[in-house]
Amino acid sequence: MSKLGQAKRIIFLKTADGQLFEVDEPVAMEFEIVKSFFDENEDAADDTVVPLPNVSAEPLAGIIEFCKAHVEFRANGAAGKDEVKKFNAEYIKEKSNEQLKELILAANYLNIKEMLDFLTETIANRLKNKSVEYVRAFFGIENDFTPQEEEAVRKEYEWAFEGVDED
Amino acid sequence: MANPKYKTSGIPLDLIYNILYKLPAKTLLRFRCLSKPFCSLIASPDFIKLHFSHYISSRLNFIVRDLSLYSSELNSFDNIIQLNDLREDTKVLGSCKSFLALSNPHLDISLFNPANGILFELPFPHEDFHGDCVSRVAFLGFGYDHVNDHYKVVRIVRFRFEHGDGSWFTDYEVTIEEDMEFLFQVVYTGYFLVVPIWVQPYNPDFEKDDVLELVVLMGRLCLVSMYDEGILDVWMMKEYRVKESWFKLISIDRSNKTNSFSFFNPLPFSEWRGDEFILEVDEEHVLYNLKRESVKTEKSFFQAEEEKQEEEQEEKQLKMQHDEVIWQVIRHNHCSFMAKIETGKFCRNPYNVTGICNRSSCPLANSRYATIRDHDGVFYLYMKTIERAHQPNQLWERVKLPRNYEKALEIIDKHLMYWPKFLVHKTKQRLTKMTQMRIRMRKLALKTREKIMTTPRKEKKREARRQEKAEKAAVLDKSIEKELLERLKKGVYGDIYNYPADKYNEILDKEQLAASDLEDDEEEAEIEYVEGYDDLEEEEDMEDFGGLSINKFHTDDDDVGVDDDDDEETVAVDRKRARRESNMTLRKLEKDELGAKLKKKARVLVESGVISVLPQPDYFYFEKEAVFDLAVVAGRFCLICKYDEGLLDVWMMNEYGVKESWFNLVFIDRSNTITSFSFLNPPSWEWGNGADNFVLEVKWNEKLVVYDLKKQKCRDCDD
Repeated sequence: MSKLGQAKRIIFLKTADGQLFEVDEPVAMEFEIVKSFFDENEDAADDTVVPLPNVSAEPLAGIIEFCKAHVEFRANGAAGKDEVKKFNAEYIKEKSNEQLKELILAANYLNIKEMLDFLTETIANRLKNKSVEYVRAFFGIENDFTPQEEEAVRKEYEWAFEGVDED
Repeated sequence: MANPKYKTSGIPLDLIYNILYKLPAKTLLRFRCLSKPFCSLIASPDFIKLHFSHYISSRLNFIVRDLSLYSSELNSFDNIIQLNDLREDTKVLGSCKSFLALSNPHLDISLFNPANGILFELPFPHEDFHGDCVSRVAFLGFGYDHVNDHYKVVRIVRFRFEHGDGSWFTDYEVTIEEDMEFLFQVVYTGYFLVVPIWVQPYNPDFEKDDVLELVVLMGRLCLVSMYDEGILDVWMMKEYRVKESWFKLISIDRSNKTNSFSFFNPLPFSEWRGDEFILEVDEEHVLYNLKRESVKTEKSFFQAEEEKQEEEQEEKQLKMQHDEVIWQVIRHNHCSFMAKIETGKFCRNPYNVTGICNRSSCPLANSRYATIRDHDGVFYLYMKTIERAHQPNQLWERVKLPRNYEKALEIIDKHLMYWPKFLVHKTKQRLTKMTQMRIRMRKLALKTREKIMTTPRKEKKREARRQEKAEKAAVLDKSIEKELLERLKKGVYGDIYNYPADKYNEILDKEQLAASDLEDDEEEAEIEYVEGYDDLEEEEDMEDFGGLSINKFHTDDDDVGVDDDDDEETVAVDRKRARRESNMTLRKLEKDELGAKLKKKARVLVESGVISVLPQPDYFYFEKEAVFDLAVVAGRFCLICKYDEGLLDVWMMNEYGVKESWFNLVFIDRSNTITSFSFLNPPSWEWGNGADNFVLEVKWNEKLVVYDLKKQKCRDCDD
């Protein structure tokens, strides 16, 4: 496949909404799904377009940004933990909950372990001090308790409901 | 066109699980309200276990310092976070599988759950297992049993009994049936199972006054023993409750350094980093390398903070007295208190709290200083008041400390409340040491010891002279002879009378004469006979006795047929008979012609016990001059022989009365040493558990020694 002397191999990814992305090979290989695609079709041509039917353009752009940065960090020899932390904090800062959810879904589909760990951690931190209603809305969970039942469950561990942030 | 299904109803369940694992327990409890499926999920044991492993694996060491619990990142000292406040003197007992056990000197144990930050006190049984023990020391350990999925608190209790110096280990295992609910609510549903087991490692260096600690390293029970000389041994039990699996893990010798370990603790949850692991030794965090067997000190977070505090303090005090200047001046051999010897630099100043010459414990170069001094057994807390530095006689303020150690500690706490922690700690250490010393001194003073006295020569001579005179005056030879004769007549000496032969013949001749006299006088009245022996009280007693006993025979024996009415006469006749009979015993010693009455009488004398001859062991040097003792050990008869040359032999008869069962139990040869047994009486015997723990106490050279049968060695023994 990849020939010696060829400077950089570029992999084409096609999202569900029809956009085409050009990604450097090392970054694309972060995606387990892309990697396995090439492992399975070894004779795939260089310009094969990998279809990603479950991912739309917006989260993919975010994921590529994240992976690019991390691949670079690794190339720089782990590149100082503080730097990575700083980047992660910046990266997550202006993302809304909706964006986060899309990101984690996409990351889950693409099967990027590092990013999944990071995103679950981030979401856990966001949800840590939130109320039950907020989390229900976040995950889209339907409340199947009757009000009496819910009251009983709440009563059981009342202290756990102290110190909840405002939504 | 993203898939609308994902956009609204959201995230697949396994992702949600992954998120939930990263949440603290408190949040999870709240999220039980999300919906019914979530409620049952969060309460399920599988989820709880997974949550444990996820949540804890992302952390943490735990450190107890200054009444608070801190957590730090695993095997490093970054990110130190303060967690809980603790009660006084609490320390970490151990940690495993996401729980932390804490204990305090009152042996209260509490479990700490880092997942929800809840501290829970265990209802540990406090009662003594043996009523009559004098003192009891307990060591605690905390561990996790992988096989049964239980947490265990192990307690080794060492009892010391009033009689003998026997102290031994008993291990009480307490199983906590751990409930999964424990994660969320601290509900205790366990039971205690107390199983005494013997887990003591075989350790030849086992002395009585070690400091012992139980810790868990790599999920295995470890026994840490520290000796006074600064040697630290760590023993590990490879397989739980298997005595043979004990092995020595580490031995650190710091005896040639001035600072020894005051305590040792592996950091909770600390794991092996290759060959290294972190220990807490002496308030320092030490990285111990197993392979190189070396210790590397890591400056801990706390030390750095302490130093910072000290610096600040110093800055403040510089205005009062220039400590640094004083120190710079005196440190280079200009201090008259300094004593430089091979082992280090020491300080002769009586106010020095440690006795070591360094910056922090110099009583001159510290404006803030506190120490403890002893005035005839009374301890005083001395505090420097630097404001009065211009009046050296009023520089120190002193407070009398009560005898009670704990109260003294309280007073120190009260007076040194806002003082630097270092000083308070050192002062308390000094108090501990001094109290121990005072106890030892008292013990020694109470012990009876040999005292050497002088006797004036003149007095001795005078006494000897007087003794000689008194002996002459007493005419001992004659009175002894008289007394012996009387005894002979009474038959005290049993059967053999003809030894030595010449004396025997002499007596016989004498008695023959007397007897013929008596026979002549037989018809005469009894009064005359008595008159002859009037002056001898004992004679009368003897006759009364003989008369009575024979009288008894008469009344018992119908053949003789004595009437009750002529009682007096019978007595009279009896007396005569008694006399004659006793003479007969003398005369017809080895003849069987003795009358029925005499036979009966003899039987009365022997009736107190049956004498049988025990066989004696072969190879038994009776001919040597030996001192013998008899003892019963483990229900068996023992013969202890001590020979002059310093040999001690103990023979035991395995089966009573069987000659072949004699065997030599102990043989100690001290003939080639100067001190022989000066005293060996009465040896007290103790059997330990099984034959190898046999202990024999022998006293020699004013010391008790314990003989170990297995090792065939004597061991000195303090008490």
